[in-house]
Amino acid sequence: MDNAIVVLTVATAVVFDFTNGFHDTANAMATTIATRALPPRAAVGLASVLNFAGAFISVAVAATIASGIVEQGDVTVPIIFAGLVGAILWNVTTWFFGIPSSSSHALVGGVVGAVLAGVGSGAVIWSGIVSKVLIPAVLAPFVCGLAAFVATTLSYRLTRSIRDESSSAGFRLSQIGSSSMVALAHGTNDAQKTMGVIVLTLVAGGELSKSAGVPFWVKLVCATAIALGTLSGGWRVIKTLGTRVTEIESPQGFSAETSSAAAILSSSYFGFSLSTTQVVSGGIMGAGLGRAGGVVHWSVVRNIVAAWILTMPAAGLVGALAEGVVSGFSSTTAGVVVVSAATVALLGGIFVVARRHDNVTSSNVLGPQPVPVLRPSSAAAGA
Amino acid sequence: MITASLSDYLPLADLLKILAVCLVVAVAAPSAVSIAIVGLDRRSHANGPSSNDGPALALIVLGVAILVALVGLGLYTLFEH
Repeated sequence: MDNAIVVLTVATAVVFDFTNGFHDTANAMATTIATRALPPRAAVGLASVLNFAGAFISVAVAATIASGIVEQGDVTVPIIFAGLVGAILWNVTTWFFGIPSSSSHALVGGVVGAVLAGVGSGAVIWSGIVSKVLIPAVLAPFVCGLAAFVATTLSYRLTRSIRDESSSAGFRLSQIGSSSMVALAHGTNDAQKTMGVIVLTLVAGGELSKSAGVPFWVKLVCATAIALGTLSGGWRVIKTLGTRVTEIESPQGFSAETSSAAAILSSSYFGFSLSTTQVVSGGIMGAGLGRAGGVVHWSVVRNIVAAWILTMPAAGLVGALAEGVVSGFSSTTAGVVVVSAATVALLGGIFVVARRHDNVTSSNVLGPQPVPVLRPSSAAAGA
Repeated sequence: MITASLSDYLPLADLLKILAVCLVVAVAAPSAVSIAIVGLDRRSHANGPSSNDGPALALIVLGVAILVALVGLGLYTLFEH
């Protein structure tokens, strides 16, 4: 195997890891930012540090990426590369539209699409897709949503005799803890997936033996990439999850993040890989419904669910196209270089348009700061 | 029949355990925070330095202890897995 292909594929995996971080910052911190428990920059900085730390906690599932979904023997380096291209482009496209979609599903979709194009449907384990992707994707939002609904209802009931300021302050403080747990779990789960992709690339490229495990430099690179991605803040997705799905108060933010942490950690313990994005989105919806008078904007939810349904086919289509282009060249290296250049150009174009069109940053992610309204009694008291 | 088909793809017993864990945490965590908030609120409303704020302090300690236990359990799960 040409070293250049291996190097380019590893670099593409690192870029995917970065987009994973910046696309999923919202999972841990959207509610924390929305309730102003932490300033946006501080929240993203905390999530970044915890994602970095989380990446070093475990490598237990690093080698299992796409296992049980495609025949591992058919996964070649160009197929991994094409799958990553599909996942990256879908991640960045959904980020542009501010839609929280699953990076893991995008990665699986991209790889499956590339395998379909490069090897054929016989190399895809369809029952694995049903049990490892589709059923968990349907169940995750409901499980977490139900838990968040219960937690939110209870939070308001138990503190109804307490002044709003005291209650909000307490829940805001606790929310920082629950969000931190989600960020740590995200770093552990998602950085491992990229580690697995890089190890698979190195093994397939003959650069690493199958029994070698995850080299330290791979852990360090993946941890750094996901942390830097998180630090750059996917403000568009944060805006959607933090302000557009429902109006979040601190008890709701705490309930959504606590339920998400419980769902992610318990499912991981029992061997399921739930999408952090879908879990947190379900949690926020459940928290929205759990508050008396709370409103969930179903039109936004419909768009999110539509993106979830489209994630695997869309990433798969791009993965298949990329695989087709790569294999269309007589030299695989030339094909990989051309697809890399086209991907970089597309990404650059999306980022330029994003900056010019409805740019969302840390300073405008929540809209204008609410202006305190003087009530007649307080105005009179102050006079 | 439908259950049998679903269980071919997903161990339902594990799924029920996940749901149970989520619901237990959904009850325990807000309860712990609420207990601590009630304790803090009572303490801040205690009348004068001579008032007995023991019960309020106990509520705060209980709430924080439950939260610390939950966080510890979460970290244990993360590291053990």
